[in-house]
Amino acid sequence: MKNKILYTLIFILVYTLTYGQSINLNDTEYLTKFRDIAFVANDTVLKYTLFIEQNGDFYFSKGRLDSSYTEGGVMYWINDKRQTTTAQQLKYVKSTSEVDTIINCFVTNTDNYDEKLNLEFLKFSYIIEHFGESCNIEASEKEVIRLLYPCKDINQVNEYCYVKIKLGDNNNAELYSWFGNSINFDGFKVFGNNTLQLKKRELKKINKLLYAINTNNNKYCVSPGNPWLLELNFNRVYSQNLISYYCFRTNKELGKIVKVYYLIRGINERNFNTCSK
Amino acid sequence: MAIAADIGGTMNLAMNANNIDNFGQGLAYYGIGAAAGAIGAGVGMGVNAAIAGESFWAGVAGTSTVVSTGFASGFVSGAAGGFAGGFASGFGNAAMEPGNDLGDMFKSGWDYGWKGAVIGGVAGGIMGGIDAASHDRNFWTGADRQDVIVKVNTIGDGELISATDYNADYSTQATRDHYRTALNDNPSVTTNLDGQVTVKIPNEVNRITGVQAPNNTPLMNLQVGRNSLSFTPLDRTNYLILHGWRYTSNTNSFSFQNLFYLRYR
Repeated sequence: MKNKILYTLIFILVYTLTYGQSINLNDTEYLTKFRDIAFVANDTVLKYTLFIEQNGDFYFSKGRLDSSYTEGGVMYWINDKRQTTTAQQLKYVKSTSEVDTIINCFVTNTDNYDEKLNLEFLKFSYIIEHFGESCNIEASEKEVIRLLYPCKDINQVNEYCYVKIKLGDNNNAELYSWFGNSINFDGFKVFGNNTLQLKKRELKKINKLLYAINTNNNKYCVSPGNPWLLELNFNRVYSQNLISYYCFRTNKELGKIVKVYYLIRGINERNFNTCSK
Repeated sequence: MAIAADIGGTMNLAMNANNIDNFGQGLAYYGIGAAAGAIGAGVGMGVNAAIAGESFWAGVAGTSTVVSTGFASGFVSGAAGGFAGGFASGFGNAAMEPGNDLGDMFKSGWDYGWKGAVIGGVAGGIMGGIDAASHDRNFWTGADRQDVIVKVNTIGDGELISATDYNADYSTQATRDHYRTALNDNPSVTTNLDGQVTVKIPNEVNRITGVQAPNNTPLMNLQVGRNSLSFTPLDRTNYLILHGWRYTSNTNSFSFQNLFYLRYR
């Protein structure tokens, strides 16, 4: 009797290890919705498509797709234990016939056009718009620092933090902080709005770093990885810095501006823990 | 640093218990150990921050936004902190012994210093490696995982493109087609008599996370191993798209820089 139970248990174990992965295979659909985008840059309208996957991943593609677009296939997902967990049919659906307009917030250099940079311009313009901010801080506000950073340095990122520091006249400064993410078909959504008064030593450090860098030039170093955007409107000079960590690793000249980023990000994360939410 | 100072002070007091005749000497030995502990911790944290691109002093003060992670970073910062703390301890304890001149103090400092560097390096390396692994990074380098599409080419090598580049608008359909792994006329792909197809997984990718097959070509009994994956196609399949990840330090050419990575605190 004991032997029978033992053999039965061994059989169940061997069967589970051999065929268990196929038994659990669960055929479902993985849906991606897309819609038309008009990217307005320098009086030119560029045609794009915005894709939003069911897990909130979003990305842009040049040109337009008609509603019959069905590129896909079947995706077999494999977990950390090297087991096939799910098989999903990849499906694409046009979500609306309406066209969304996104205004380019950046200075596009038509003489030296860079496709990767242009794509980051589009993505950041899209996110800035969702944070309800105006494109151009130069025209509207004095002595302002804006920082928009992704929560991941590499791979697809859906979570961004947005920090704005208004430098006052009386050696004081206020920091405003927002967080936004995309977790489903609804796309990018903004949560929370926190404010704090910067400490004197924090402001002193920021000023010291800003005086040490040349704020006259826009600095772009976006690939590889996910860049962050640091806009400075300091001493009546406006500059944009779009820099990724993995680009900075090979370009140490950007060290000073990266330290400004580290400092402001550090203050924001220490106080509001936005990227850990 | 305060904790390191207290531990250093207490340990030095215990190690020199036989040399203490009065309260003043005890206090001095505690002070030397505390100073050595604080110096060791401060230098270790400062070097750790400096490796990550922050200022040394931000690391010492504990205000740095980033820290370096992985065995290599931990080894360097642990060795630096261990040497500094060991040197301070050896120098200070030698100064307490009557008859020792400055040369004896430096000799003792150096002796304690290199031993501290070895112990600090190994301990720091292991702690750095554990820190990296707990954040889904490479134990040795602290490198992040990068999602990739990998093509297994005809000589068995992997050709990679990052998943974000693959999906980006500047990647043309021709580019995406290039990163398909061909199942025919590919020596890295074999088919047995039962129709089971085996694809060699190249070293350039650390893990396969998904296999994308064209429409209407289901794959049966998909098995993924360390070095290969196998399946039985129900219909004729010409290609697959393999999704996976690699550590960003996993490159064909060695670079000293690829030993050191950071993470946000």
